[in-house]
Amino acid sequence: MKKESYIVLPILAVLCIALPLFYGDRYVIGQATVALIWATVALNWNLVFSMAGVFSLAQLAFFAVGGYTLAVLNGHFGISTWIALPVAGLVTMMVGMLSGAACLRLRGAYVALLTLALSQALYLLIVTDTACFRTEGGNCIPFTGGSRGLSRYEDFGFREFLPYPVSHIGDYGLAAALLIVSLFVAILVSRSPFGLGFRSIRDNEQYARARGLNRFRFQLSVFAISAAFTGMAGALYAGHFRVMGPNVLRLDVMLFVFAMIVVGGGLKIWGPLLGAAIITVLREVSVSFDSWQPTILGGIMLVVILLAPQGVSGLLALVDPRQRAGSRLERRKREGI
Amino acid sequence: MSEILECVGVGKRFGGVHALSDVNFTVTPGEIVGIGGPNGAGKTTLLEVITGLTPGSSGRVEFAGTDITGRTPEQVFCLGLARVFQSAAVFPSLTVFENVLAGVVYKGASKPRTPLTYRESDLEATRAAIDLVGLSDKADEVVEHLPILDRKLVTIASAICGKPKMLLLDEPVGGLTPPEIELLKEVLFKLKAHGITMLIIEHVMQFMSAMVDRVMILDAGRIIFNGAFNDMIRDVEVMRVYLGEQAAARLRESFAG
Amino acid sequence: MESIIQIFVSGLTLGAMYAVGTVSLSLLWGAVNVLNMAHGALLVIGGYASWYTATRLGIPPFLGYFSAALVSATMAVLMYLLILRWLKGRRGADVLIIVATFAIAMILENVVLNVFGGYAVAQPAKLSGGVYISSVFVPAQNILIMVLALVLMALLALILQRTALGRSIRAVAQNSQAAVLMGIKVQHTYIAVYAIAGAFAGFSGVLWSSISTLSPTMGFDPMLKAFVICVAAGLGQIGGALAVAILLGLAEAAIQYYVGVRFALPFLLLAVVALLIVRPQGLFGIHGKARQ
Repeated sequence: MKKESYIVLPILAVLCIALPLFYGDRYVIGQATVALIWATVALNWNLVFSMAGVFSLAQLAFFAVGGYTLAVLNGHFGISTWIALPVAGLVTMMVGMLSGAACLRLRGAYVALLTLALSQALYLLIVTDTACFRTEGGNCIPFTGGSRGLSRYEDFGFREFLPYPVSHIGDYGLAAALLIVSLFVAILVSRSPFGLGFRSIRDNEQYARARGLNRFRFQLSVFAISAAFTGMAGALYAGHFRVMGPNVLRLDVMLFVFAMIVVGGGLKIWGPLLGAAIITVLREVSVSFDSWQPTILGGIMLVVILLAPQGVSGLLALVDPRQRAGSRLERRKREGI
Repeated sequence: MSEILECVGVGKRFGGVHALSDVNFTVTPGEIVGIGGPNGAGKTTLLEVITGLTPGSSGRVEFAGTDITGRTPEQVFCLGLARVFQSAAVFPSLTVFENVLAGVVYKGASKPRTPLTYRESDLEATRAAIDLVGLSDKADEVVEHLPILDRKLVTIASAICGKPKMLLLDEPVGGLTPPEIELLKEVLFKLKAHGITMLIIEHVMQFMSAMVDRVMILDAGRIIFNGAFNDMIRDVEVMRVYLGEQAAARLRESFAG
Repeated sequence: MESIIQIFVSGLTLGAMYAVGTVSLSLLWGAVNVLNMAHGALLVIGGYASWYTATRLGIPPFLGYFSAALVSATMAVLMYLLILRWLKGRRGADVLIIVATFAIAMILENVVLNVFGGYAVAQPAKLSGGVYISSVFVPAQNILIMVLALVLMALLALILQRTALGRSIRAVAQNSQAAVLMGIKVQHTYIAVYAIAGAFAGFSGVLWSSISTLSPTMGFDPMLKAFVICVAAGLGQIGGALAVAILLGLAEAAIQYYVGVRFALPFLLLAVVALLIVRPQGLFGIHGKARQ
């Protein structure tokens, strides 16, 4: 990931403000809210890939931890969702650092396998959770809600303190704000000494060590930042839908978010955001082939991987003549010509 | 204690292979020491053991009064012992400026710092180091597309911008043309003038003779010669295992005077 | 005593099945450096191939093992020829391969779901009856699984150690460029590796579905276990993977018996994480050879 410019921030902000002004339709806003949440996850997942160079598959586990934290805090303990939201970020950050510490001693494929197994273990523990944590109206509610998930808890309550036309875009605004803040942090980090450290380690780890940079510490901090924002995105998701179930840990959800990164391209910080927009629109367009969604997504991913490995943002970068010269040289070098 | 670097009984085994056995030597501050020897003699392994990239199997390494045996490469670098890799290692996707900057921002990793902004002193040190190796007009170019000489200069700049006490250079002029060697020699002379101690692995004898105060020759993991360059080219053992009759004769001729 | 026998019977059965599946993954990783996330999908395809030939084409159920191996092997070879072949040698190829095989897995499972439906069906290639050891009932199918696993392992060892194909596979695994120079047809060897790995995956799909049921998502759990085994043994270590497979089968049976089914995977993962913190290259991996 190159040093990023802040210019994408105002562009994103303008787009986020423009949408409700021009397409205030409830359905559109609802879908856009979800798209913004997934875009936050994709953005932060890509930070782990392209900044830390770690192929972790634990991102949706972080998402689930954030969502469940909000659902549990509000549903079981009656803590306000507004307090639960940042707490979810903190809790997920700690979970991220813990799992990071366990995984980061390993390399490449080992990390992928272990993180996948960790998130599956989480799924199984939740699905098989049947011990009653409390009973409500004669119904037994396990701590995690088991396979049915948790549903008796509050949302962010925009309907209560905002007038009608604005209230139904409350969640949308929150999701947009989270994405913008997260993007800001990502750019800030990529431009800071911290980001220089990440890029150095990714480029040449041995050499970076010989210049005083410690891979473990850097990668752990990427895990922490990425997990914190992903956890808050999860909490937002839980608050928006008012139901949190284990299905976010299913493989097809992982493929869905992953497709955003692959299609958008991970080389640019904003690539996954573009990917999120493309995949969301695509899903809306192909809604009549609902049962074939995974095949369509998988097929698109394969085509992109084969023909445009840097995704759509990589293709756009090709239009820029400076980058084109660079990538041609790179290709020639790769092919050993 | 006058030595800046001291190796005592350093050994390294890879399985049954003794890459280094009982290596003892010292380097005094300001000294430039060359290391020669046939391929596979253990020269690079010696640097790796000193810098902590591969831990030694036995022995002790001391640097500037600190025992650095078993330290990580990060710690060794932060103590002021910087290595310049053989293969002109760079961060290919970074610019010249960023490459050099990376060599200074995390040098004092233990000191408190704000992770989000650069210290002005670091930026200045970077500019100075780039200036010293003569790459100022290429500071914003991406290193990947630079020729080998420039890349070597970049890694030297990144090694020196953190103001190390000592440099370890692994074949700094390997793969360069004679005029390029002259240019690099000038840069290293400037460093010598700054009082930086250097340990240089090199095969190019003309370069070696001009640079070093003393030469050590390694063969099969042992030091077989440790002394002045002029004595080295007359040493029977060195001639047999490394230089060969004819090359040694030619060297004696050119350096006889 | 009975509980011990019980644990050994189900543990060895599990271990035998893990072994067959793990060989497929380990072979692909060790020989062609591919982490196959579509392993589970190949299991599913194999399971359904056996079911389809037996119930729809009327072929004797036990030939299902062969149709499964055949169909899964074909699918694995196609996967290589159509997609993975083009990713070799690209920058970041290992990650691209993980992503691509992941996408292939989703497609295959989705197609199976849409063609055969999502309801679990019974695997016809299955023995009924069984024997008693002391007072513990041992289903004949469990015995068949153990025997088949042994036969398959012996067959693989024979191929790898004693045939020309095995020699080329080992050569390619060590250094594919040098293998080219030595006149080995690398492309043919690759295809053979994919075919063998696919066949083993298909076979293991029939075994798995024979003691549980057949469904489009049944491949995931065995795949995950196979991954855990490969990682614990050290990726690409076929012999080591077999030992760990048996060990893991027994451990899982014991945990299921004494602690509860739902804790088996988390417990095993904790153990593997702990192991990897001590030995990042796995139990049998060679230090410094852990692939980047």
